[in-house]
Amino acid sequence: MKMFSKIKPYVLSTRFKMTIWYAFLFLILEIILGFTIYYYLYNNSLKRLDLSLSAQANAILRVLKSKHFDLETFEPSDIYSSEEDLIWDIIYDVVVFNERNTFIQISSGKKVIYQSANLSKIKLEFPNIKSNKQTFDFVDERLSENEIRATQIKDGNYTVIVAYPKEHILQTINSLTDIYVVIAPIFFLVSLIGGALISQRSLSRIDKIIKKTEEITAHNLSEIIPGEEHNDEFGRLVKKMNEMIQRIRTSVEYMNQFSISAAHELKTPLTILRGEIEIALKSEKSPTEYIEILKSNYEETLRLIKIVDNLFFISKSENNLVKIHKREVNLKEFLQGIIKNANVLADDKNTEIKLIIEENFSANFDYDLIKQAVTNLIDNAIKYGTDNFPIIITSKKIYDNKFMISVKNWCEEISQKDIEKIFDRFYRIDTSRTRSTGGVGLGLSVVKSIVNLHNGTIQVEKFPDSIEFIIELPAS
Amino acid sequence: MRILVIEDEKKVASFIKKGLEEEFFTVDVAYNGKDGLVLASSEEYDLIILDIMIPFIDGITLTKELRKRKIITPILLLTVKDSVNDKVEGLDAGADDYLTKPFAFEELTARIRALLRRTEIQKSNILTAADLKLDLITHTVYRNNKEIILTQKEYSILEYLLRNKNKIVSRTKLIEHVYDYHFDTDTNVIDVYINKLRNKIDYGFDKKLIHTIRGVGYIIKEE
Repeated sequence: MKMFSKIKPYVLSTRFKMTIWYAFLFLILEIILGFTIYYYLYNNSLKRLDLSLSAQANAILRVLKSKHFDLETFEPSDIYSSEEDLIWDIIYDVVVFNERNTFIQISSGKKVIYQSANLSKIKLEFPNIKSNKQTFDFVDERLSENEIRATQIKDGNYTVIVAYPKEHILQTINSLTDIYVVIAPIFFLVSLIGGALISQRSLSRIDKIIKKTEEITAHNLSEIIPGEEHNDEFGRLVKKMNEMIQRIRTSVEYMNQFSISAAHELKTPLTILRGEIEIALKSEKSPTEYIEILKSNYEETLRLIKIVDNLFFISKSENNLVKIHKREVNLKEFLQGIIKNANVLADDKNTEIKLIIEENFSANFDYDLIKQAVTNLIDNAIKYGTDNFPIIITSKKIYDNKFMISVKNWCEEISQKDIEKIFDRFYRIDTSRTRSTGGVGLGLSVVKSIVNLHNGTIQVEKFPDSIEFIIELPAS
Repeated sequence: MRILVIEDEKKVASFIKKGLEEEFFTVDVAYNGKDGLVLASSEEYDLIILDIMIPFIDGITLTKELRKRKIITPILLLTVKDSVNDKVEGLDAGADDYLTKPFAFEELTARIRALLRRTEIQKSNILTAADLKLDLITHTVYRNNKEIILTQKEYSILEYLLRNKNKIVSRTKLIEHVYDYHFDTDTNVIDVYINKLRNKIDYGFDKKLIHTIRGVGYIIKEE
């Protein structure tokens, strides 16, 4: 049991399975080859035997017919007692040079006129034979342990039977089988060892891959599995695995960044809540002060809810869990509605929101989602735009199948580096702007998610004194 | 004791200021790195509470800059990041301590007390001179085991004098450490408070503790 558990990994390995399959296949081929050779040799020998038997019989018949003895009256018991005895000897010795000790029986009609001595007077009878020439096997234990092959030829009144035991053929084949029985297992063993060696050689690279793969965890995803340079299956496998590790690394980094940023974003309102509540509990305050603190706590709670909602939305949209419900919307009415809501905030900063639609039109999109996207853009424009300068919303059709909505505001120049990162989650142009505007770095990410869900695009145009966000969406 | 809070999140700065003032500290606030640097370099503070993520100049850079300018005021960093790297970076830049947001206010005050102790040879939270005792945690003052009720300003002046026991403290120094920077410098105010303090602490005792050094300032001496 202990022994088995030790070799178990090897038994389960591909290397072992490959070797076994390889050897098994080899064994089957060996067996097929053995049987093929066996049958080929057997049939071939039998054919040659048949040929020689019929040749012998034919030769006897030729002699019989060339001499016109009265064989009807000839008695086998009369051998050497008549003048023809000598002729039969000649037939026997010269024509039928019976070196193999063939059984020969000649009959005339029903009467046996000659039997070779080796038959020991045993009469060969095959009553159900009809054709002139017939080859068959028979068994007669008195003559031979093995089957006997016989050829019978009828010509006129004469019937010649020439028979021979299959011994010889079987002997040859049996000795071949003997050799085979010894050689086949040796070959099998060699194929096993050879197979094991070959698979060991080719699969040892797999072990290296396994070893390296085991070492790679979420903390060292920058490492690569060696062996990419080989242009074979393993090389390709390693290359694909490395590509996969790279992809995993990107998503792990993304997730890490996401959770760090999410935690960061959540920590600010939580710090405020905790701090304010602790100060409130520290000593007794006036009702006005308590109300102030509660108001502030409420604001921070709303901020937390907004952060969580945004995170949830982005995460849902990235996992394709947000369904969009398109319907026909009139752009002028739609944008006027949004601007009306936004004016409450804009008035505080003395900012006017202007809408430019030269030709009114309608388009199909998810009303609530696009409203959210445009609202976020306008909120940003109010928060980060220069006070007292207007915000300009433009919308128009592009060709027949697309339309655009843009939000432009005046502001200090933003660097190219910041522009590139502007849609990153939580990104806020932190070093140059103050967070006291209460912005959540998720706003633009949400906009981008919504636009992506509509198969649209969002671009940023940067000017020295202003910035413009342009959303392009399919019209239907 | 006068503290500078450099924090861009207005509400955070506000509750820290409010809380510390309840603890009898004088607090100035700067909402970005630039203003923070100006205040820290021009005014005299006993401690700076500095957020790392602030606009214009971040906390780490600001710490380095202050140390470069030989301003050795203790700095307590506030950070939302709690990775070891950030802490190491902050401390290596010259900060004295750090606190991760969201923090417990009690911990903030405990760390402030610890940092203020470091500048003097004082390991206890009770400052003494002869039979005068000042408890830094409960903000109570005793003379000969009898509690003396002080106003916030009186307490602050007494605390500063006790922290600098046996050393002469000028009126300007007292103003700098007891008032925030909105205060219009007028040293007469100090004389008024010292008089009140004397009435509460030294009146009725043979041994006078607060002494006037003419033309220079004040001193608390035990003998």
